[in-house]
Amino acid sequence: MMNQEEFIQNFASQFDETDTSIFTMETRFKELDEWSSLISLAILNMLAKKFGVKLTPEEMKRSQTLQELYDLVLSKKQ
Amino acid sequence: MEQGFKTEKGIPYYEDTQKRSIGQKLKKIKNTLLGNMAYSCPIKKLRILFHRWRGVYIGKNVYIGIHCFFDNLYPEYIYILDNASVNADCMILAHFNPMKRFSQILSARVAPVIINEGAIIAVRSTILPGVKIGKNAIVSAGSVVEKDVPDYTLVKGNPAKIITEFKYLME
Repeated sequence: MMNQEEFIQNFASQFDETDTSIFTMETRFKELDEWSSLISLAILNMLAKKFGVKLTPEEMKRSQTLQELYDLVLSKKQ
Repeated sequence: MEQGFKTEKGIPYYEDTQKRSIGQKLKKIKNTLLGNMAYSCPIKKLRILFHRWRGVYIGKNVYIGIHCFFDNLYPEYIYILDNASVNADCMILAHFNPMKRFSQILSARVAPVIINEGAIIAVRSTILPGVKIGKNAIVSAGSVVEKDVPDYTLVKGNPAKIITEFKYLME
C-alpha cells in the first residue's frame, strides 16, 4: 500500500530539473516550468508501474494538485 | 521482412565518389528528381509512391509527411515498416562519407535505418545512419536520434534521451 511520501517521491523523480523539495500535496504541478505532455505520460506510466492504476489522459487533465491526483489514484485502486 | 535488411558496409570517401560511372550518375539524378517530387507533393499516396520508386522500403498503412528528406545516395537502406508514421520535415540519413583527410578518425559507411511497426517520428526529427527505432516508439518533435530506441519508448531532444517507456499503458 502506498503512502503520501512515497507518492510525492515517485512523482518528483519524473522531473529532471525541478528541485524535488518543492513538491508537496498542495503543489499545482501544471504551473511548473518543466511540466509538459511528455512528463504527463511519464507520470501515467509511473502510476501504472508502481501503483498498478491505469489513468486516462483525460482523468490526468482534470486534477490540478497532487492531492487531487492522489485521491483519484486511491479511488481507482479500490 | 526481418531477415531482409541490408547490413552496414564501408563506402568510398568523398573524393573517390567523384569518379562515378554513368549508371551511378543516372541513379543519383533519378533519386534527386524523385526525391524533390516527393518532397513537395501535396498528395499522400503519390509521396509514398515516389519514395518507393527511389528504393525506400515502405510497408502498409504508412504515413509520410510533406517535406521529408530521405537519403539521396542510398535510399534502399531505409526501411519504414507497417503502420509507422514519419511526419513533416523529417530527415533520415543512411550514409556518411567524409573527405579523405579524415580517414584516420572517421570511417565512411552506409548503415540501414529501420523504423519498426507503429513507431511515430514527429516533425523535424533527424535520424542518423544505423539507428533502429523500436515498435510503437515515439520520437518527439525536433529530436536528433543517434542511438537505437527500444520498443514502447518516448525519446526527446538533441541527442535524443529516453523520457519514459509506456508499455504498461498500452497493454
